[in-house]
Amino acid sequence: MMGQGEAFAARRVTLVGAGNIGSFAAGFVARMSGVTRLTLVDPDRYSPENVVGQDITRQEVGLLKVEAQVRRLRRINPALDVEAIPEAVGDIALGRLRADVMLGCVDGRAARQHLNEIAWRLGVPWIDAGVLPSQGLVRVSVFVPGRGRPCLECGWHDADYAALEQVYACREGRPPSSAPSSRGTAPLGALAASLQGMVLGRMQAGEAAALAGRQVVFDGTTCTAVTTRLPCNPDCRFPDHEPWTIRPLPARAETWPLARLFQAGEEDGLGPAHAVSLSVHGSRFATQARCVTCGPVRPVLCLERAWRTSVRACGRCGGERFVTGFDLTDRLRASALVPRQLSRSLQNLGILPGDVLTLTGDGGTCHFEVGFDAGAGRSAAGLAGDDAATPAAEG
Amino acid sequence: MYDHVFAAFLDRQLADGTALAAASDILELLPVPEAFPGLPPSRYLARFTCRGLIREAGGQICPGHECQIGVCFPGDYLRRAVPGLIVTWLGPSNAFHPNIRASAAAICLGRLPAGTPLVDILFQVWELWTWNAFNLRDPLDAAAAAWARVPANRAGLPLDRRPLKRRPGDPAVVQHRASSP
Repeated sequence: MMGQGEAFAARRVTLVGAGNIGSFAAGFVARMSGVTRLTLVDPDRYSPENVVGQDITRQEVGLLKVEAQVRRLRRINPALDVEAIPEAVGDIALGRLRADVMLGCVDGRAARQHLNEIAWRLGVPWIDAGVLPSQGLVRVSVFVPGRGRPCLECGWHDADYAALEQVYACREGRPPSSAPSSRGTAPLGALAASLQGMVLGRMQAGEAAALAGRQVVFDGTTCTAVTTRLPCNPDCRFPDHEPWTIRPLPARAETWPLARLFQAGEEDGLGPAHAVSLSVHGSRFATQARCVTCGPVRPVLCLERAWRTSVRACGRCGGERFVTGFDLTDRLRASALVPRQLSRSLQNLGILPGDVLTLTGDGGTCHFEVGFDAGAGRSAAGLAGDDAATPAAEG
Repeated sequence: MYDHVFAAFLDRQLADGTALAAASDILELLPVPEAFPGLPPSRYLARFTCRGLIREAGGQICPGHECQIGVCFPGDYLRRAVPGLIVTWLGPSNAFHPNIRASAAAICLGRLPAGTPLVDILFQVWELWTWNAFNLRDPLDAAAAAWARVPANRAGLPLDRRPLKRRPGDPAVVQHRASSP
């Protein structure tokens, strides 16, 4: 936990969202002394209407937002190590977002909720910025993970959860239920990014602990600001409010079978291996699949996201097979698996570099992060095309 | 990590769902045993014995007399919900309804806020299957939506007027309450 006045080196920054706020913030971060690495996250492309409210030019319309920003940042600071991740924040392996600080420049509650969870689990401070153009408001909040400290959801009520964006079965492939774009003006976005950058500067100056739970709301119509301190809510729905202690997995995902992982849990004092269970942050396990055409349910075993990225044919009729919500489980318990399943490699299950694996047993919980390897694929799509798509993915 | 708040939620769903099934002539609710001993169930199979519509192989629209769904509450259900992953359509495979696509095991209940109770979900599914409710915007089954737009077809709706839960005062309900703690 960060102490008062303790130096805070924000060398690695993860910035999520490259739109109204993020397109300005990325440039500010690239200009900050001490920042050596910037990870940019945004799944979208710039559209013509973005030119009005975001820090881009007409030449960048049509480009992936992260791609356009990487080009710009390299011109600003060629020494900066920039990684672009054109994916939704909720779909990214937890470890890939690891940084010294995270900047949230996103629209909508769902993305903020994901960011909050990621920051808390990684133990990384995060600075959330948002705008409300209709009232000329800019809001910047600071969250520093730690026991007794407020998180984003501490301030949420039932109405906030009810207003979370959702994708309905009848609207697949279309935007979520609540249009997330705030359509912020360029001055508001730049102001929010400026405040975010200034807060980051104060954190680097050693004020991170003092800023935890602070929120500033600037009213652009009256040029007044209100600063508040967010309380930690004992009834917060985000469970336990504990940053995780995450250790590197002492092997590569392709070399360790599932049984070895459960054994590692036993060696870690979680209790007998057969009573240990496994979960992967941000994804669930598919345990059975159904055929669209002929209907039978067959056992399978892989992460749901690995299944999602490939089409599987039914061995009987050739029809497409799919996994429903009823076929998914949060956790795999060793005793519920057969030897053939336990012999499967972690990679074969769809586990990717950067994934954080949680083992739970009678003796407690521990977390391992799967390491990166130069030869290993980084996307679920790449993996599903190779290993997870083979018949070995079947139960 | 054991989430006591979520476990309490699951306990409540089991109690309320079981009470509803006991007070219903239509609903049969089967909790799916958990792989983790001592934990309350997070998955349910629900069978509704009431009238809806099915499409025969020849294309005729006929009455169907029961349907089945699966309900699954993931560990983060109190914080976020993906409606398509919470409720799964399990049959009949030829269900005919604007908001059901049986071939994809999909039923669209619309907005499903995080933490929506099991009983609310069961009521919504019953309303859909019996055509007490349907939404013609963004249909999952365009043919069923077109059918429902014809006034003559709508005249016979809803298809089943029996309530999901017997009215208070009915013997079975009184008996259930008497046996409740």
